[in-house]
Formats: sequence, structure tokens, C-alpha cells
Amino acid sequence: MTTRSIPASPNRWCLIALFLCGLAAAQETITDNVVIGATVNREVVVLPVAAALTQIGTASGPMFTRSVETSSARIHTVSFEGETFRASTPLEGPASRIVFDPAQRKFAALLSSIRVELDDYSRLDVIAESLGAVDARAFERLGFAVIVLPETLHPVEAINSLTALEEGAEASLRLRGPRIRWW
Amino acid sequence: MVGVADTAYFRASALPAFAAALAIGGCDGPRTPRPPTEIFLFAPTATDLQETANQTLTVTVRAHPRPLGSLTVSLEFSGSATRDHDYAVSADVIAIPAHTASVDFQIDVYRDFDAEDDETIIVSVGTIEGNATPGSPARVEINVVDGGAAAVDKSPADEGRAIAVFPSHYVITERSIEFGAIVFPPLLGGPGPHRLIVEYSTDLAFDANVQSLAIVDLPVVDPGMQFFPEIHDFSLPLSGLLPNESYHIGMYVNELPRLTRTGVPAGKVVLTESGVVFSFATDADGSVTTRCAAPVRTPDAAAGDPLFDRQWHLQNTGQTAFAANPGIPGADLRMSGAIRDGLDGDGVILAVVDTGLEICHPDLAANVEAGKSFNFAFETSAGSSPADPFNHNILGDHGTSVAGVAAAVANNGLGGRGVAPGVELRGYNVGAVLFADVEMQMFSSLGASSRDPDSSGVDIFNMSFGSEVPSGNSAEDFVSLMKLGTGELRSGRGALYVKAAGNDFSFCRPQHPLNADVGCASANSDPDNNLPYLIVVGAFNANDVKSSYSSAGANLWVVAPAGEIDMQHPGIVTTDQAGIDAGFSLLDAGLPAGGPPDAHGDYIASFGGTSAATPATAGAIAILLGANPDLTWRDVKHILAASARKIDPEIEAVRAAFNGTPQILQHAWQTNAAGYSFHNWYGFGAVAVDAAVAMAETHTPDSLGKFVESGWFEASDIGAAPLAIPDNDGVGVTHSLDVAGLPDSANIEAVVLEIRVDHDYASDLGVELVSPAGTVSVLNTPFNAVLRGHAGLSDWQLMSNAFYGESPNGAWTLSVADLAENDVGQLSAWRLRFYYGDHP
Repeated sequence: MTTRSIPASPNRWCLIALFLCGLAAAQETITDNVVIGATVNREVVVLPVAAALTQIGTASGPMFTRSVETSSARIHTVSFEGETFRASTPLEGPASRIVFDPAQRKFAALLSSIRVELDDYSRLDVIAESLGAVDARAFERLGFAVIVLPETLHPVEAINSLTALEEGAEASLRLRGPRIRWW
Repeated sequence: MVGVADTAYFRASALPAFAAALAIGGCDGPRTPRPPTEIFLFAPTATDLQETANQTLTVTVRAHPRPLGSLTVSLEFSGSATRDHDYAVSADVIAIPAHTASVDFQIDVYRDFDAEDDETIIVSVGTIEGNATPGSPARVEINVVDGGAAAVDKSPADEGRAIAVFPSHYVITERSIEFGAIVFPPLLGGPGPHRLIVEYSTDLAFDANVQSLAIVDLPVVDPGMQFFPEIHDFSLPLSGLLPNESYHIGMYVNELPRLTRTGVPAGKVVLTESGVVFSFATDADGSVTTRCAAPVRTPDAAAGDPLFDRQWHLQNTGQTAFAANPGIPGADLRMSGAIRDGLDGDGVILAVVDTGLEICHPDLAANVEAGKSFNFAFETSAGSSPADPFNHNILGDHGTSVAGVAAAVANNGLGGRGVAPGVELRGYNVGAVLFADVEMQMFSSLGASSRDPDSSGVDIFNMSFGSEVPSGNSAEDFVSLMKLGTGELRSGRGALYVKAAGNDFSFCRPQHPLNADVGCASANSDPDNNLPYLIVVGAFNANDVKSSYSSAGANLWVVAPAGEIDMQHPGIVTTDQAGIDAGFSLLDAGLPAGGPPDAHGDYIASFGGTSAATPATAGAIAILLGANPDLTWRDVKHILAASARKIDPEIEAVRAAFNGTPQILQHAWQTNAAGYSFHNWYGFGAVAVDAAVAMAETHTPDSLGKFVESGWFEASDIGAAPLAIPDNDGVGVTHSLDVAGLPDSANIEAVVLEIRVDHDYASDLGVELVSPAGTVSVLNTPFNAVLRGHAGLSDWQLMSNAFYGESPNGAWTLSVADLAENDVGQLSAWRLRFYYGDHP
């Protein structure tokens, strides 16, 4: 598997996404739109934390997404390879941040943390501080570190900031895995 | 088969004719001309066969008098049952050699799930070549009692056991407990409106002193939608709570029972079908108790271990161990020699990665490595200590009970003892963080961290846990972690990762009647349990057969004692949170807390699950490492496999026919080409400590050659033309893959299959792999509850240990069969990876 960092520049995000109809507020941020992101081993589509209607090209083919808001929830609809997938999230907070995983053909929750690969792990604390991180832990022997973000910071924004700040850093999103069961 | 039929088989109605035939050939009296040989058919007395029993009926073709020359008898089959659909026969034509009295043939009646009535099989003698004529009876009629059609249930979810509410987090401050809950409305029954009720009480039954904390309206969600729930936050001020009191916080949904215990193994009883309770105690100043306070007990080295004679897993004498029924002597770890010789894992470091560890427990404290445990809740629990993984939940601490199985102190006059009471024990409470980023805690706890905690010095990691929603593959970072741990820890000899197989054999709403035979969820479904770096452990009970709940799969390595959980049959006697006001003893500990022999409420007799089998195995490994510290992780795996005890040796295969083709859904014990016996319920068998120690003492460490992970061997020709899988048909599809180029000296240690099936309903599928040597391994049992409702298998990885020691080179054959109607699909891709030792 290859490791791929999320592109650093918002302009590069925009090269991927083709907005048919923007429904977001005037002060639009990157996370108000659909963007292509990456976990450590595959591409995922990060869904917006706002209402939006988007056609986007993915490695697996074109995808149409529609996100609408009710008084209590945001409803995402993804049309991909002839199938339609729907998800409901809260309007705000970390639980509102989800992706569509084309390989698994399902939605997944984003963790409020990112995975980073650095040339020099002694800089981890500095980087974490610059992001206002809650925690950071290096697993140097495994070749990565995890930075735990404040709940107010979207992981996509954190990766943008980090890759702009730290040349050579590879950063990727982290998805919530299965919950532990005690046997 | 040639032989003389047993007269007990003869039908009563046939005897007069046969007696007459015998009389004709009598020896006394004047010599008469030899009569011509007659051909008779005889079947066993009982010719009513139960279809569900998968019976094979032997029919005898008898020639009387014995022919002077050879005969050929053709058989004719009729009746309402359809040959080669409802049954098979071993022969159409029977050759009877000269001077032979009888020849047998078999009728194999299939168990199937077709909608049909009782049926008949009529066998009669047809043409005969040679000097003979049909006798009487020359016809046998067999009545096949139908087993009924399958009631296949493909409804979308298993709401009956779904936990609709569970806690997301908690933060204990000096003034309050801040906690959260997640609710999954799509899993709730009824039309609504649904409300989340949050209340607390000093009464665990919530019959008295109930205080309301919050009522939250829950949204109604379209069940066809993937739902990401909101976290509901609550706060319980400590100012109004009493000192030195126990409190229980209950969260449940209004329409559903508040406190329905699920009956699953101890450690899970606090979870209810509709809600959850978590509890805590206040100390003298009204704060939440968040660190271990050593209770006063009086050790007595001369008094042995008063509960030892109840610990059947160490020495099964047929004791009841507080249950209603006794076990069978010898159904244990077979470690009387180790106990006698004082082999106790002295100095081996064991980490219990779990919900917590009561480091001051009177029967654990002496074995706890000072300052080496770690509390991941340290920063979110006021008053806690970073080196004290105390579990504030007073309704039992899973990790403390797990730890006691492996490492309770021996000969201190208290309770029982652990399997390896000489180990140095650490606890890492990854379970304390609930819905937080557990993965990061796991990396820290499983050897990749040198601070907070320093887990790099651990020899054995006990992992009595699994994943809730499996069917994916292990994360690559986790694989890297396992490679690091086995490659570098223990000075390069590799740490031992011992992991529970799961408790999902019997806890599900069946999709198909065969779930009762092959289980609900396969152990191979857990995304982390298909890695060769782990020792995956199943459970057996005091009767020396699989524990009813223990998940089965080709990825099991061994089984260890864990018992049953119903108190009808013995459970495991181990440590509980100390004191009569805490622990599983508040729920149902299986022994009377507060009275003899548990005067202080420090123990539980109903612990179980593969959670208990795992530390039993970890303790056994500690004894091996104590006996021979130079053993590598692969040496240990090898010794466990080679010394394991074959239990339940006569267990039969599970077979059924689908559209007339029989499928073996689960094989009996098989001995592979390298001489290792394997069964999906038991792996290589039950851990046998004394036999393993004997082997460890003479085993040359690191003698298994270089450990090699091969590349993928692709079934490359399948891509352009996926193979359609016939619906509800045992024929399935088969496809072969030639593996070549690996060393002749390669000895398989594990095989991983990656498979892609595009299908409408993946739990219809059974997956089987056959090695070049002919060993068959079921990698995915059909009707696997994990796959219920899943569309297809997307590059899913499944592991088998059944080929251990065989050569990987040659033709491997994959079979995939769809065994339930109405959904179809195709085999799109598959490939194999081998883990092998390169040695003669």
C-alpha cells in the first residue's frame, strides 16, 4: 500500500472538486465543501460540515454528493457506481465529521486526530503546540506519530496547517475503528 | 466391503425366509443336490432414518448358499427420494466373489433443508450375472423422516442483543462527573418518541433513592441510513452525594426495560439490552474513588490457597466449583507437574491490556511490578495516579479478574492462585477511555511505547478483547506493531501476543438452523485475529468440550479452560474487585460474597469467556519462558501446537446438502500432511502445560529457521471472467492456484486468503481452502452473523492455521458456496500469502 499525504494547498483541493452548486454560507471554509482526503492507505471523500451539492472525481470514478440540513441533523447522500448511500450526522461537533470510503462503500467517522510521519520526531511537540493539540505521541519505531486535535479543529484543516508548516511531513486522516469488546 | 452380516441387522420379517434358506443347506440327512444360490437384501432393524442425523445406512447383500463362482448383482433404486439429491449410494453393482457369503454397501442419506415430506428409498435386486436368483427378501424399503425446511432469516439486524445506549466518555473532577452517552435510534424498537432517561441511585436495582438527572428527546432516524449519533453530555455534581457510598448511573431508553441483564460472560453484565449502568464509590470526603486503597487482609503462607480446590482449570478433580454440576477429572491445563515442581513463570513480565487492574488487590499486589502499570484515565480522573490503572466502576473490573487467572499469588492463604504466580504483572487500562481514541492507547500498551507506559519490556501481552464490528482487515499500523513486537521485543526473541477468539458462537438470532451447529460469528471475522503474530485462544469447559459461547475458526491456535457462565457448570474462580461493596459479586459472582470461603468478597466463581482462556494460556506461556527464557515467540507457538491435547476427539463433521450436493460446513479433527491435528473449534487442541514444559526444556531455541512472509500469489486468470456462484447450491464454485518457487524447505506457519466476492448477501457464503497435500480448511462458515446484511466480501483476509508444517508449493483449491436462497453473486478475485519457516 502507498502512503499519501493530503495536498497542502487549498488550491489543490479545488483542482479535484468541481462545484456544481454551492449552498454554503458566504464565509466558506474548506470543510464546507467535499474534498478528497487520505487515510494511511487509501483515498476517502471528506463530506462537508455544511449544506452542499457536489460532483467530484475520485480514483474509483465520479461521485455525486448532496448534503442537506434539517433542524437537528445533516443528511448526506452519495451516488457512486450506480448505488446511493445515505448518512445522518449531528450538525456540529466532532460527530458531524464523516467521510465516504469508496473502497468499503460506506461512511466512516473521522477521529479528532491525525497521523503524521516526520523526518524529525523531536519537532513533534512544536508542531503539536502550533496546532493547539490536546496530545501528541510519537511511535518512532513504527514510523509515525498521532496528534490529538482540539474538538474545534477539523482534521482536514489541521493537515493543511501542518503540511504548510512542516516541509516533508506526511499527514493523513484517521477513521474511527471498531469499538473494543471485552470477551 | 466383504464380510458376514451381523445377524442383529436382520429385519424380523426377513428371518423366516432366511431360516428356510438355511434349512435347505443343512448338513444332516441324505445328501441332496446343491440348491442354486439366492441373493437377499438385509438392512438394519431400524429403517426409519432421521434426515437431520446425516446417517449412513449399511445394507447387506447376502448370497446363500455361498456361490461356487463369482456373481455380479445390480441394484435398483426407487422410491420417492431422489438419488444423488436426497441420498447417495456407494455402489450400483455388487461383485460377490466365489465362496463369499455377503457384501455390504452404504446408503448415505443427506441432511437438507428442502421443503418436502418424509420420503422412501427402495432398494431391490436387479439383474444377476452368474449362477444365482433373487431370494426373499430381495428388497429393502427405508423411510427417511424429513427434517423440515430451513426457516432462513435475513432480516437486517439483530435487535435482540443490540445495545442502544452506551457511554461515550467520562471525566471525574473534584466537583462533578462529566459523562456522555451515545444512542443508536435505528436500533430501538417501537415507533417512538424515544427518550433517553438518565438517573442515578444508591440502589443498583433502581427501586429506591432514584434521582433524575436528564431526559433527552431522541431523533427518529430512517433505518436505511447510516447513523452517526450525537454525543449527549451530562453532569452529576458531587456536592449532593454522600461520603462512603456506592452510586449507580443508569442511562436507558424510555420504552425499554431499564435493567435487563444480558446473561453474557462476567464483565459484560452491566450492559443491558436497552441501556447501561456504570457505578462508582465515594470516599470519606465525598470524592469519587479513583485509586486503589489496599484492604486489610491477613496472608498466611502456611495456609496454601483456600480456593485452589475449586480451581478446576488448574486441577480438575470433578469438583463443582460452586456450580450445580461437576466437571470431568482431567479437563484442565494438565499442569500438576508444573505446580509440584514450582514452575511459576518467575520473572516473566506479563501485561494485562484491559479495563483496569486493581494493583492493591490482596491476591495480586505481591506480583504487581511497582510503578510499571499505567492509567490512561489519569488526566481525566481527579485524584488518580498515573501508575494505578484503577477502574472506578464498582460493578466488576474485567482486567482484575483476567489478571487473577494468570497471576494471582500462590500460597498466601488467600483465595486461589494463578496459572503462573511468579510473573511480574502490569496493567494498562485501555478500556478506561471508552469511546476515545483507543487505537493510540493500544499502540502505547502493546510494545511500541517507551514511556507512559513503557511497554517495550513486556514479555507477554494478554489481550482479552475483540472488535465490535468486524469484517474489515487489520489496520496496517497494527500489523506494523505486531511485526515490531515479535521482531524486536525480548531482545529480538519476540513478545507473545495472546488474544481471545471471541464469545460469539451462540449469541445471535440464527439466520439458518445450521447456526446451532457451526456457530454465529466466526472467530476469523475479527479484523485483528487473522494475523500470524497472535496466539488466538478459544475456550473449553470443565467437561472437556468447547465452551458453548467460544467462537470457532481456522485462525484459532489453541484452547484453554474457561468453563460455562450459567453456574450450572463450573466457571472460573479468580480475583474480583476487593470488598463486598465492589465487583462482579454485586451482580452474580457465583459464590457467596461475605461468607466463607470468600469472607471479604474478593473473588468470583463465574468468570468465563475466552477472556478467561486467554490469561490461562498467557500463564502457561509464562511458565514456558520461565523454563526456557531463550524461546522465541515462534518456538512458543510451535511448542503449544505440538504439545496440545486433542479434546473432544470424536466430534463429528457438520454436513448438509444444498440442492442435492452435500457440503461439509465444519470438519471433524483432521491430521494434516505434517502430522498436526487441527479442528476449527479447538485449533491444535487444549493447552497441556506439563507436556509443553517437557518440550520446552529440550527444544533448541530459534531452531525454526528464518520467518518469511511471502508475497501474494494471485489467482490472476479469474479477473476477466468472475465465476458465478450458484444460488443455494452446495456445488459452489472452485478455482485453483498453482504456487511455485518457494523453497522446498518452507514449512507453513500460517496461510492468509484474501478474497473478493461480489454478492448481495455475504453471510450466505461458505469459503473453504484445500492445500496441495489435501488438507481442507473452512475459512468462513456460512451464515456468519458478522456478514449478515453485508453486500459481498471486499478483499477480506482470512487466516488458517490448519496447514501448519505443510509445504506451500503446489495447487491450492478454493471453494465458495452460496448456501441460502434469494441472493446471488460471483467470485471475483482471490490470492494467498504464506508465512513460513525456512527449515528442513
